[in-house]
Amino acid sequence: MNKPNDIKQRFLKNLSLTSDSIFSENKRKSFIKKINDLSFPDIKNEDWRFTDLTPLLSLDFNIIKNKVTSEDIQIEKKIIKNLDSIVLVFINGILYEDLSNITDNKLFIGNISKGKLLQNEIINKYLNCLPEPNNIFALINAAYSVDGAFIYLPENYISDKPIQLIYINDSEISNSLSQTRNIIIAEKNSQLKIIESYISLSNKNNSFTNSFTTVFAQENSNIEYYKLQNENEHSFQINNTEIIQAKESSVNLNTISLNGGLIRNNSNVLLNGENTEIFLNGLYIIDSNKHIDNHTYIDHAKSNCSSNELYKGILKDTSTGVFDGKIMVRKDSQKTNAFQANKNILLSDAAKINTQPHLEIYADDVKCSHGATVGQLDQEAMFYLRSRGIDKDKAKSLLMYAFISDIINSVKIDELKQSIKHQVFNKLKMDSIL
Amino acid sequence: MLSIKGLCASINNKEILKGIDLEIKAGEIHAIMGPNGSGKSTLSSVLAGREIFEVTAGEVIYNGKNLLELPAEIRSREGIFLAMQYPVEIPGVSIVNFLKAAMDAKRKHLGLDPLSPSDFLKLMKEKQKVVEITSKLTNRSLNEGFSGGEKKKNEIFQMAMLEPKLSILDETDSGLDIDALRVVANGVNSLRTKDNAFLVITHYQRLLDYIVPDFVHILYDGKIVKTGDKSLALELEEKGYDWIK
Repeated sequence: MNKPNDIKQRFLKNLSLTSDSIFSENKRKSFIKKINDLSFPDIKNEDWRFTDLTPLLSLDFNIIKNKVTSEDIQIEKKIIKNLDSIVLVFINGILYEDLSNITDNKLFIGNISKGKLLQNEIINKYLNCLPEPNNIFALINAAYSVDGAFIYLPENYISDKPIQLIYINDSEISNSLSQTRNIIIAEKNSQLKIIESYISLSNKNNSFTNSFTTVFAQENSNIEYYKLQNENEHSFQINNTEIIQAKESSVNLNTISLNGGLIRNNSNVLLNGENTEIFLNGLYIIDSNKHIDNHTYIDHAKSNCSSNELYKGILKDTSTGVFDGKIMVRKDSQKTNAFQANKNILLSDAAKINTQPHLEIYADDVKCSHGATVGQLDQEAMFYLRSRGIDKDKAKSLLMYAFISDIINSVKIDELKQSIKHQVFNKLKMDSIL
Repeated sequence: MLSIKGLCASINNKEILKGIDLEIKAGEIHAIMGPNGSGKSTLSSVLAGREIFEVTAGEVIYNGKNLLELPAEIRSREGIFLAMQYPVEIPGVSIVNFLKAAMDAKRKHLGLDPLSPSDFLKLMKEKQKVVEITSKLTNRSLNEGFSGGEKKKNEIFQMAMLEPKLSILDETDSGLDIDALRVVANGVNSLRTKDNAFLVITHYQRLLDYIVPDFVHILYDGKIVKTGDKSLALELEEKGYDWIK
């Protein structure tokens, strides 16, 4: 056996096929066959050039099922304050119904491992048109995941309560693995707000989240989707999200990464109907030797669609970051509007960001723009604040906040915005004067 | 209040100020005029503590303290205020919150408790009147999307709030229409007391019709080449800068 294969076998040895899966055994065997043909990517792989997975792949992970109570995990501190919402709590990738609060019975909400959902004809229709997983982590998730959130909004359904998905990693006993397979379907004319929080429960050992989410935004549906990544420095996370949009749908995906040892977000969007729009906003604030990698791919497969992408980051100490944004405009996708920007502030000489746009444009009547900036805090603005009596450290914090405020202000749920502000203030060591 | 002796300053090894001498006493208004590139803005920057300028010689004594040793934020808390020519836009930080932070820092420095929120808001209301602005403006992010006139009014508003001892106005009049100019000047005049002083830097005599100076100095090539009373400004307006060279 060659070395990459050893790594893979060791990594997979603790995983097994269980009866709890949305996929048939045959399907899962086909995934495993594909996994056997692939190896884990290393930095020679173009898509992983700046994200070295060696620290992750040298560890063993287990699926740990714990008996926990809501006191153990202090659930009320993990959910967003004062926000009337539907709550699903996952610990190490498994839904804990007794910790959750699923109050809306007009919706299909629950976990996908429950066979009863599979009896449903509509749901089966969607499961059959899930795109094939296209990378080894998505394949491992598809083959071995045992649980995940399933959310189905029927036609014309306006979900007034946001749905909070809380993903908790508990590595108290040993290294823990979470592999949720989430499927979110918003039927014609429906509206959905969804908030995901990724949280660590223990500072012992390591955790690995390998999550995979597919979102179907059907005709004229509207989805606001927030991801808050705030785990500890012992965590690894690979977050695969694919969004498939039908005509006239609008999706807003906000990825906010405030802590985590290594985070890789693969956010893929297929604009598969005319007059669709996608907003991708990203914010990352990282320090020490942590690593954040945002890969986005927007496929303008139909004409008259718009994509609007803005990622902003602050990197301190020896932290490293990657932004890689691909935009594909297909041959017949005329009247495409695509805008992409990635802006960074490096607070130390040792912090690093690799930022790269890739535009592939095959149509001729399109408007595309992209831009990337890497800089330091503006010295003029520093002086302005200090000349009013504000000390250096506070001025720095204010300017960092000023830099990212447009991303925070794009959060449309007020309670969530306050919660994010609060977390950002903590991160920037500010008192809450704003 | 302020005593400048033999002040020389440079940026990137280029000497801009070449020996400035200036005395300002409480209750006085001094105007500094001069052509572009004479060092007017450098002088105001050096007094406020902008670090990109290097002081190569001379001293500045402010109320008995060696001003050049103090960082910008301490100078501010000690009562020096610079109304900037180009105020910076800072999104996401409202004027209210920014000023509360500035006031708290100053009061702490002076050994005072922070103002209660209601006292602070009362003071805001009172000072807004001085420069004819509304809460609508002060609730907005600092200078973001402000017109030129709004930015300058906002500078004077901050000055009114912080009640400095020495206010330096760096070309506050540039780019202002006559109405905004009148508002800014009225603001300055209403803030004038026997205990504070103003250093008004300007290119044009126009501002000095509204803010009447006790002394006018002409700065040329990094030095004060002439000092007089307000009639000197009128003379300059008539003859231009050529005759001083």
